[in-house]
Amino acid sequence: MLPTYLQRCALALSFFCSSVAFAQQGQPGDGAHEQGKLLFGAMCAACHVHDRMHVGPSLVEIAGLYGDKRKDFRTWCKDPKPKRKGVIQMPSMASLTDDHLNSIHGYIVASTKGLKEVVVKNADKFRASPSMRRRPLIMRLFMPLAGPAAIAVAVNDDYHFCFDAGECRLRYVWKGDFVDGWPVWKGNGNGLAKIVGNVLMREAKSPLPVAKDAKRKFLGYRVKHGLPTFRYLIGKVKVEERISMSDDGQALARRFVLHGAPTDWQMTFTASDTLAYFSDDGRFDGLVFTPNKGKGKVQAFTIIMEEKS
Amino acid sequence: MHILAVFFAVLGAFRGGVWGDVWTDAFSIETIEIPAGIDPQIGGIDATPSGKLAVCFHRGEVMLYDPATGEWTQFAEGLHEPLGLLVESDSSILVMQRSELTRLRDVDGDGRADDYDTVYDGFGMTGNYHEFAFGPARDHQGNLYVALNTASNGAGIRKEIRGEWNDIGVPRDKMDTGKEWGKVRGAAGRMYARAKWRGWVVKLSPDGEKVTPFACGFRSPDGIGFDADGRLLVTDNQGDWLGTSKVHHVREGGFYGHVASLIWREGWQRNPLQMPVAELDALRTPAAALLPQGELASSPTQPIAVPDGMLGAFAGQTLIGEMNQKSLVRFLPDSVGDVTQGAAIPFLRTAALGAGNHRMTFTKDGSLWIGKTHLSWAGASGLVRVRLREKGPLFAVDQVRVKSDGFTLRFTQPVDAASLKGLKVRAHGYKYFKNYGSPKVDDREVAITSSKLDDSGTTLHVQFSQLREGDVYTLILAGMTSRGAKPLLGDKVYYTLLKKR
Repeated sequence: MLPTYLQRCALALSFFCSSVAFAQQGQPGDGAHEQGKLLFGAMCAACHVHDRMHVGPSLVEIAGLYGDKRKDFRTWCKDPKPKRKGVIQMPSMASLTDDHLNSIHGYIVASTKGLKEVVVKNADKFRASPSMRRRPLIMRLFMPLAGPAAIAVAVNDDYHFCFDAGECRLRYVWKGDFVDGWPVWKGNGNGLAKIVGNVLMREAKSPLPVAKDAKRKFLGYRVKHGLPTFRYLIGKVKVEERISMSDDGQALARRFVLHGAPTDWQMTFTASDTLAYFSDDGRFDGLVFTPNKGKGKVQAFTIIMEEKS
Repeated sequence: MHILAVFFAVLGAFRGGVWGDVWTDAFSIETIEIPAGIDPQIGGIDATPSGKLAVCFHRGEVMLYDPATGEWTQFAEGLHEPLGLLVESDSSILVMQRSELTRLRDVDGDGRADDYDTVYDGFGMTGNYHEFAFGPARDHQGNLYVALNTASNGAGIRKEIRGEWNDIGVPRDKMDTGKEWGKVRGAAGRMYARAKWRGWVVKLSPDGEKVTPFACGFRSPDGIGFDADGRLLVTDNQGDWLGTSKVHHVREGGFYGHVASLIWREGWQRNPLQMPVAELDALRTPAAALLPQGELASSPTQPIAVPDGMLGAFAGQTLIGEMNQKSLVRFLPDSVGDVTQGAAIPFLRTAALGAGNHRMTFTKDGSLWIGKTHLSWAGASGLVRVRLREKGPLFAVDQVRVKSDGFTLRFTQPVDAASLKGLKVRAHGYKYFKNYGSPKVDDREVAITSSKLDDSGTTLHVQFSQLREGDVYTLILAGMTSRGAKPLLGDKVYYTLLKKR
């Protein structure tokens, strides 16, 4: 019990001291100050804190900008403009009266006396954590060059791809150090992840012979050895698609299993300057692939995607 | 001795302040350590049948926590900003991601999900950051309900979107985030819903096959759940068209006030931003509870029913999370005819709780678990466990009923009549308009004509000369104690009056 008791004493003392300090900075008890504090809590505190950049700038910075310019402060609050790159624009506070805004202004100035801006390091604390660095890795987040329902997959340390669950198709393959997701994670998703590395291939459309407006339905994925097998419907054809490393570990192996596809289906792949396509399960005629005739309603084939030397 | 005397004086002065307050005297609040390497912002939490907690995090991990051993294990990973989680069994968990409702299944029994099955992704995404997705809540028949956030004009849309685009409003080619965005963003609406079912609650049949657009008019509905009586409650956040944050009792076909989502009503043709406000006002169902901004709540989250036999006198009642403030909210509904309204009361309003209170669940031992988040707004992160201390009966308001001329408050313990001196009542309203938040309107003290305790001392009748429908009545019960000298847990009652009895 003793440590708890001492902790309580220490807490009480520190709170007592900080209250004394606060009393010297502001004018608590003053009616306008209290109204300003209340309004600040109601209208502003979700995005602004005293001593550091939050969603918007700190009160220290605002006091520096508008401390002696109350009219400009009111004008800004009623009609805010885009100002900082990468920062969400403030909503208008036009519903507040001049008196309200003056009391908020007074509170900001009084409550920041003696405070200094704390510079917050804009760095990803979790970048090196196991759940970010493990390979293979599946990660859904906002990706460039794809629709909003993207899935990034690190196949191994070097090769990665982006699958689009909205379009039910592969979007691109890249080589490098996977993604920097910080633009997405640092806030509320108002940014795209960065591709770290070089894009080897961007697929212009699904290689399956389907019309652009064909009905697609994403069914999810099954994980085996850390990699996803995507499942989706194109019309009535059920497709399973999986990209892993080839048996020799030198190339990517893209496997399709089609359920209920017409036996004369051909695949048309997108030209790539850096990847060459091969398969033992059918014949390539340029970029057009004709699978070997399968038995029954299931066709399965693997396309090797190898870097051109 | 002098130093000790100072200590005790300071301790005494801050009783009811930073520590040792009425809440921490009644409840213990314990912080649970989150494994290193995980961004500890929690989007969803639920208990498994075997007594573990399933928790999903900001960067997409789903982890299992065993309270018996304190161990964490990983169940799934890589989900897109999951903001809701519902356990189906020890091997099956539903998670609401930004992009879809997903069923995670551990098929081979190794404790990790193998199948990530898409249950529902039939809603639109423009790529706007504010298009969060919340839920699911499950009704007694097994139907699932999800809530879809509108987009914010803090940004535009992306070139590629998912799903159908609605042409009512600024033309799509002008909606791209870019240099021109500043010119059109005002006309786009502070929050907009141009992708399908944004600002709606969508109902799914138990198998996910049948989809019913259930109700609209939501802005940022980061809280969806059922109370003990089967009401579907949805919280929404102060902003445009919301003078303050609120709680809705949601019924099929309803419109709950934020106008952007109206464009997805069947046959709808008009731009709501160009309609007279009075016309929009007439369409809407007002909130069951308005939560005064900055005072009671600033960013309400999940409603949850306290299970039978848990949290003492609070069993069967509804708690609501709160992200910006160091507090939860307790909601006591009071239905008059088919109108749901009621009282919202601070709960666990103590610095010891901290802010960020986002998702909640109970385990069989009676513990309340609270997962925290901030998503770059004011909040916090991590997991706390709240347990009732065994200190005898709690003193609190457990029922508030409106009358024709006032309110009746029922208490869990007899009230000390001498402590009624501090009783005060205020009332105010809010404007309904497109502006971001509303100041209080006609904020006034209400003269009490009579306040009487009944013979048992547990029921207090408070009467006024006038009661006005549409206003929030704040009953200030400062200093009230039980006959056993217990302080009141939650000494302000905010009653949203829609209809008198």
